[in-house]
Amino acid sequence: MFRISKTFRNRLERIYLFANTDYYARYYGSKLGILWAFLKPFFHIMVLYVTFSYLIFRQRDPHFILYLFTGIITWQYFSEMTNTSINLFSKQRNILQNSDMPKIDLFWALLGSKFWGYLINFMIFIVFYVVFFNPVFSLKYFFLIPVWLGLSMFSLGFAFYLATFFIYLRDLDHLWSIVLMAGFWMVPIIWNYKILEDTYQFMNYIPITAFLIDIRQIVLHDELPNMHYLVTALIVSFLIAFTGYIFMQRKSKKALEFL
Amino acid sequence: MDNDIAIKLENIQKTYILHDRGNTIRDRIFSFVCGKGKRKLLALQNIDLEIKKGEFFGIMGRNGSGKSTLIQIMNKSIPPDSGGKVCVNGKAMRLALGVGFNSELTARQNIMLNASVLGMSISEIKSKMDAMIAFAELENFIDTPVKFYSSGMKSKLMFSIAVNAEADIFLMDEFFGGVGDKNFREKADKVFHDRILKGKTIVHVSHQVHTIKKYCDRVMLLDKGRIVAIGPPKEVLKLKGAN
Repeated sequence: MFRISKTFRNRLERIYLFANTDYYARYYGSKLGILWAFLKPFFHIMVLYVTFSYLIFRQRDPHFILYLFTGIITWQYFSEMTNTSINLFSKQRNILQNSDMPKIDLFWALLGSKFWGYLINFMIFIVFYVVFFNPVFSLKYFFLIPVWLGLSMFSLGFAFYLATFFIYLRDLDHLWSIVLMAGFWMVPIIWNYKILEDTYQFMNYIPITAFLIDIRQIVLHDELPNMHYLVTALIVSFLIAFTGYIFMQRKSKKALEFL
Repeated sequence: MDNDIAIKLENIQKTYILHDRGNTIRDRIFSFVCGKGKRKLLALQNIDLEIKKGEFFGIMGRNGSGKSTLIQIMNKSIPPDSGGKVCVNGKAMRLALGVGFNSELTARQNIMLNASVLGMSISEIKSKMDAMIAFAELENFIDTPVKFYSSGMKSKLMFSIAVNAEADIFLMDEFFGGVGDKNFREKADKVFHDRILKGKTIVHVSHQVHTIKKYCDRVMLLDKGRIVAIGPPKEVLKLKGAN
């Protein structure tokens, strides 16, 4: 029993170390170091604030900046998670070659690192929200937990597929960057999701759309998410993650031979 | 598998598929439509082998004879063809010089990651960190990214991590004997002999006749993926024409 728990603890520690290293690695060598993790989202939201409050769209609802920023950081989480996953096996080739470390641990670490980045962005958003607006904090915020869980599973599922396909298709990263660019404009990040209610209702069944809408409803409107769409999005996300995992386990056995 | 056996390989065969066209989406479509562009390379054939616990087992052979492929199959980092069976009794660890490091990270961070992958807990790594740094003689460069290290410095660092790692079976792929300068090699040799060889199973891939002669209990000679001979070093080396 002790043996099992020690092995499991070591595994968790290893995932933590990989996630931690991945997160902090991007700030090595810069003078301000980890401070950039806070400065970047801060300046990002300030740029949006100045742009949309003073330069263009001056007549627009000031809440639009909040709408936009929640959309951007949520999309950024999905985008960074999937983009980084593409060359995950090739980046960690040396580690995989020298040990019997389960491949899924690399994905857990990636998820941990990117989700931590997302939380910091979200925290900066909340600070901005409190300083410049009058937010209502209610128990409805607890609904962010299933939404974030679903969003993470959705991203993880894509990460499994992309990392595995990249073993056999080395220019997948270029193709994926086009998909992400198209996705940015196709899901309601910039445009108002209310359009979907009348014309494009089917889009509510796309998990990333449903999660984006849910986050805005909880945080900006103090409303409960639409349970029908949330449950559907959760089921679809878990299915994508599960099938992605099976696919990765089966098809990545020969990863080291191709990379 | 018997309890005194560390590694057992049955009917191991390994075929690599070589893609002449490459691995892009366009190449895949062309290969699919034209049905060409693939070649098979038989890297290992009919390998049956048992290595006992505590044994120092050498593997020799020319470049391309299948030594590294075999080590990676023992390490389970690549699978054999269907029908082959790999049984490993205990935790195996592959040691190869200069690999395993993320060049963007500092030596300290690489120690944390590599030692963790090799089964050490964070508290263990932290308690042994100073000893590992001192052993590698890298006190002044420990927070320098590994990309600025020479190959000798990387080798010392990897060796230092390896001697502190927990493993029952060490799979040494051209690892031993190539570490650092003469002084460090002598120190490494002593530590290796005192600390690792006792009770551990070693599979040692090498071209160096003197380490094979000095340490190995048995040696296997590979040629074009097949076993040519297995036996005491003297006999196998004689067959190889090396002594």
